[in-house]
Amino acid sequence: MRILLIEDDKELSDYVAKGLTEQGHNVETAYDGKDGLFLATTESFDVLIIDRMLPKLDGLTIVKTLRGAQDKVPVLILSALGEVDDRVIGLKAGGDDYLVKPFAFSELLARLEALKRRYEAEAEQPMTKLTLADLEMDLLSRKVSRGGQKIDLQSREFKLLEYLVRHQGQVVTRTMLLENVWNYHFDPQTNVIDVHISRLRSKIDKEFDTPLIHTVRGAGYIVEVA
Amino acid sequence: MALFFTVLLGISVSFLAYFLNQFNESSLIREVELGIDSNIEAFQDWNMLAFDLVAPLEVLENMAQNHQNTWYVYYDSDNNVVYQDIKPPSNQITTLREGIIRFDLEPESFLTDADFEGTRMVAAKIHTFRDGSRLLVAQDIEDALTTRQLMRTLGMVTMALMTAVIATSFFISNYVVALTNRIAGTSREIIATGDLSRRIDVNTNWDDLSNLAEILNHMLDRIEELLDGVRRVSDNIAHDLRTPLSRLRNHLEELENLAGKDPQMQESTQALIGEADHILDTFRALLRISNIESGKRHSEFGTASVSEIVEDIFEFYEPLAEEKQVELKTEIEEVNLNCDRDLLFQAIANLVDNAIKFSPANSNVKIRLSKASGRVLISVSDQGEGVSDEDKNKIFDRFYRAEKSRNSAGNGLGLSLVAAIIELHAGQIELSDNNPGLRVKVSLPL
Repeated sequence: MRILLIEDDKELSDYVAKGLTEQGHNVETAYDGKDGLFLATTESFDVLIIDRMLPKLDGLTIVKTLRGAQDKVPVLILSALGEVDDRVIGLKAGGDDYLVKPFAFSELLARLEALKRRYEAEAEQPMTKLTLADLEMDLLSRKVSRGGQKIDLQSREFKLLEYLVRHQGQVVTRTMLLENVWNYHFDPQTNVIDVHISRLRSKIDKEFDTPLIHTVRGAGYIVEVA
Repeated sequence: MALFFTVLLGISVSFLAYFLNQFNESSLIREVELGIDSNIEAFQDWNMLAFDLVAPLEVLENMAQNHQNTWYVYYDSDNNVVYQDIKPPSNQITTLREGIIRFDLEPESFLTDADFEGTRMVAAKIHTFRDGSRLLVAQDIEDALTTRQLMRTLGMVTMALMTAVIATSFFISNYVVALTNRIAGTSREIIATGDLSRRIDVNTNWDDLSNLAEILNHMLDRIEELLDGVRRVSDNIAHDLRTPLSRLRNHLEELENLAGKDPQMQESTQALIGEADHILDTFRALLRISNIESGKRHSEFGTASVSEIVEDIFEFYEPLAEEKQVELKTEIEEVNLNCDRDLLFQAIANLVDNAIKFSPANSNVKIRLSKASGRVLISVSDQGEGVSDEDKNKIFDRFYRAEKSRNSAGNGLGLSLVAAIIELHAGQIELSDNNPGLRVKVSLPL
């Protein structure tokens, strides 16, 4: 995808740009707010990554300006550490996601892909059915089946699976699951998420030859047909 | 203490008052009268026994010699003066009480050698005997009266002073007790709440105690400063190390990609990434705690259902508990609270997480949510080994880990985070025994 990165820390910018390029993305960079806004309004991008603190024009103003001009391009806001709890302000300004610096590159990548997917999904008709290989999810009747075989899931398990399947082929981090499936921003002391995933696995994958849920070490999970 | 001193002083003043009362003029006159009466009796005895042998003149001369400051005038039945050593004045005689008169004697009134200077005040009594003779006995009361008056004045002054002392001591002791109590109360509160921003309320510095309070306040300033310093240093360390650490982690990720399919390389780089993640998590937790402790995080307060939060926690931890063969139970009342939903979830989740972590197989962990007298009560009880009394005070300290838990996962910050969150919500946290196990009780104001 085509990504615009507006970040004044040149080292970080280079590192992120390099990483994203290696992943096959097309990255444009701007080092201050003014250049960034100019690029964002004159060219079209799939996702914008905007640092909050920028010279000349701050990140939130850029987002507000874009939203004011009815530009719905997905925006991921980066924030320095002092503003850990300014997440709400960032999201209210029109950001779609929020990531606190310093961050792991894998987290950034996972979030970017999730953003793009959501943006595309919104553009399409609302989905009533999700499928992955022989797995089928009926979002209206909340029924799940695999290979024609009915699978009983509790409501949270359904939500978890739904989120994973909606982001099939992408790495989903544990933090993303906590925020989107459980709807809480918090740090679990133990990897409780892993227990939930293994429960889900036992229902989805156990009796079938091809596993769908895979662990990506050091990052999170991915649902796909390997 | 104050009361005791006041009562003691009060008693001594009343004693003094009693004595003063005894020393008044009428008692003096009574004493003088007794003296005069004994003189008259003595003369009468002499008369009765030895009138024929010794003339009254001789008796009186004898008596006058034996009694200093006593003077006599004796008239026989024909009103002739038989004996006289003073010349009583004919006027300016006052009556002190019935039968007792008082008059002043000028120096020239003394007929015997008397080395008095100035006028003397005397009390006198005239006794008429059966045969018609009369005896006047006069006694000097000048000195006694002056002494008594002096003592009286002295006593009055002492009493006045002592009353003043009582009043002052009452005031001072009241003041001292009040201030001491205030110092003790504030100190106790600071110890109980850990709120070092509190100060002892002093508005003067004229006395030693206020001085002491002020010095204590200065000491608190200093302690607060030092603690802030320590906190700032650890924050700065955490803050400054995060950027290079996440850079390190990113490089490790690159390394992992470069490692390709070599399983050994893969494994080592993943272990390294895990370590880096652990350090980053610890730093993040530290910074989060100090962020919450600095009290700036009120922006995300809003009304939330605590019941829903607890239900979500139950649902979130239930699989983990099941895996450990621990039964997770809840008892939930409907409660809404103005709180930071994410933080409250975090706090209760940490408690439940700990409870499950330290529970043996086939035991249960119970979460209770109730409402009582304007407070929300949340308790998490387990049936594990519990926490020793010694550890109870320390387990909320950063990085503190009880002996038993050293080998289990975690960074020693979970409960510090809980404490900080509860503090932000103006709540209290209390540890007690669940016999066996630990019960953590959180109480939040509604």
